[in-house]
Amino acid sequence: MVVSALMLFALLLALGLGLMSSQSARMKAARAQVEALQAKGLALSAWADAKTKLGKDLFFPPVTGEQNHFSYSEDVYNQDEAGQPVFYGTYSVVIDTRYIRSQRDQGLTLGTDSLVNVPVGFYLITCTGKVGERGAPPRSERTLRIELDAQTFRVIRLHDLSSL
Amino acid sequence: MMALTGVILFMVSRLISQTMTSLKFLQEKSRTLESATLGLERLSAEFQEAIALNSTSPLSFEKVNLSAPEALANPVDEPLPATNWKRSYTSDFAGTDQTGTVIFEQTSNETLERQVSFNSANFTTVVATNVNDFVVEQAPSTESGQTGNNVFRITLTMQEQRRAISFITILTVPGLVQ
Repeated sequence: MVVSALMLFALLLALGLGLMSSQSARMKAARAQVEALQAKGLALSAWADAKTKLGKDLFFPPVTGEQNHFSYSEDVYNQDEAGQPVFYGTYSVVIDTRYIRSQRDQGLTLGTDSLVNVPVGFYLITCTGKVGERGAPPRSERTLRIELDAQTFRVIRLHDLSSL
Repeated sequence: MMALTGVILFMVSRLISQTMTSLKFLQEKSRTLESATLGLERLSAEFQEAIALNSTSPLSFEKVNLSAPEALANPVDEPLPATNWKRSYTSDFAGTDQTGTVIFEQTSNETLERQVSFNSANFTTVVATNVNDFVVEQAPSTESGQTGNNVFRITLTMQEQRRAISFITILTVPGLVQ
């Protein structure tokens, strides 16, 4: 009787462990998918941030001399239940200005060109979103590479360098 | 004693049988979820690379070849804003058409297929199986109001045993005019 009870217990234990381990693997896969999408969201936030700055500020990116790249990074915070900011991830932007030239904007007549230089050519923008704790390797990362026509302000090419 | 053992064995066999049924159902559910998630992710990642939209039913768009040279191969060392710089990948600086057509379409055998044509090369891959319905809506109305022409709502409905489950994603395509 005791042996039967022990065998039954062992069988139930094996069934329970099997069920729990399969659920655990599913939860891990689901969490990885969510974090991959969050990283993509951060990369898209980087693009929206860079596009806004380029569209509103004639002196952005502030490159001087022979410098042909400008990069910056922003931390992104979430709120916990108490409303306190919690570090969530980062996004970074690298703007390649090798294909950008500056020329005087056209005035109302050919004889009175504007005194303002405007960018002509293409911005090559790399936007990266990273999810994870500060100081630790990112749990998820996504990179978008965008080519923007500086005159028409249209995206002529977007390449998603990584996916799930 | 024998009767009691028989009852216990019967209950154990029922327990094992029901557990297996539950595991199979969970596995099926998980597979549907993964298939839909991966299919939508793959589709949206590629659709966001679009530079021109041909149609939403079937979803057909133009994108730039991944191996195309950066900035249309315009001469980076040219000092002045050259008037002859190319601005569209349909004809880069060398005169090569670097664009291709991608079509996502639901087939009659419940699969979502991706057909790609670059120059003379064509190939087809299966993105998701057990697809019940696939709908792409341009400029959808959302809770925050009417969206622009470069915003799309994609609904992928999957068949899971006796029920259909819809997965929806909303995305912006930066290369299309708002």
